[in-house]
Amino acid sequence: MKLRHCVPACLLLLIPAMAQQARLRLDLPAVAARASEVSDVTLDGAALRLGMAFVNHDSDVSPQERDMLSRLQGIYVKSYEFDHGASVTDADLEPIRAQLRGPGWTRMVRVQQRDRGRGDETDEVYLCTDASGNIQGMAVLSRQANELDVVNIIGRIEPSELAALGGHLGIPKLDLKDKEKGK
Amino acid sequence: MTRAIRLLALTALLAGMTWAAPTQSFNAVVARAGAALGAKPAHPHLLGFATFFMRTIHPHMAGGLRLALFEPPHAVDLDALATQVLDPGWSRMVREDRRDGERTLIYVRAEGGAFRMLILTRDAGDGQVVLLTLRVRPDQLVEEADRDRRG
Repeated sequence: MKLRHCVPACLLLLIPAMAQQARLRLDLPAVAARASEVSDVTLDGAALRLGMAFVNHDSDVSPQERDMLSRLQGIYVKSYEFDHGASVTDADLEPIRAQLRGPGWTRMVRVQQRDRGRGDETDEVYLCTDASGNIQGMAVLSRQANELDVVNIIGRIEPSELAALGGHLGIPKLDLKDKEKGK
Repeated sequence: MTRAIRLLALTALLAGMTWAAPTQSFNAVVARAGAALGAKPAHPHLLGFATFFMRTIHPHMAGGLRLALFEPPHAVDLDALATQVLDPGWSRMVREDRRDGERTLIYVRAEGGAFRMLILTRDAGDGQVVLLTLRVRPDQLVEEADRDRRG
């Protein structure tokens, strides 16, 4: 077989590998053991088509948002809710952070809000890109006093489009205004 | 010519297989769940009336609403039950766990222009297992939601 035939084949083989890299393992057994409620939302295959069908028929969703949603291959959300007094530590998040330190992942945004009444709230957005800089996926860690949400989105989505997804398809609403950027 | 006939035969066979591939019916799921749980399904009183009521009030929301209730003699691993009972056409969409032991699994599968949802719940107190399926047409549901929003 000639080399020029091998290159596209190798590139095709790389596509699922990149998608796999963008897919995170969201399980946090130690956190789940302390949580009062754990929700696990998986939107891929038929479930994603169902979610998309709702979005496609929703007149409030703009054509740009529909286009963005059509580029998604999967949305995975894990939510942990805690009783008053219980909380999440940095050590608890280490299994996920370790994956986010892997190749291709970059932290884009970190927002920390201090609320004396409800405790600190931290939102972080990570992007996964391939060697050419194309976005393969995204991760969101949203930590509040009594709740932790971990979101993993697979597909081509720009960070600016993330706000439109908030509140849809199991993704929490994120307030990324007044953001502090940095890694 | 032989190749064309072979291709035609293969196409017909594949088309036949697709046509024959049944979507897993509620009764089939209930029968398998009953065998796995060692319990007979109970059908709640007035479910027929409730379904009729739902159909009248929300005609698009209760399509194919079916429900069965099991009181298994032993503790149930709901994930294992789902794996045992559901065919691979079902995609798991939601899994919710509460500390008190209540667990809910929601599955979905595409059926033509509609979707079928299957909800499997294990109650925290008495370990009852509830199995519910309903057909969802997103276009009609959204239309109805829009109508409600407009008042």
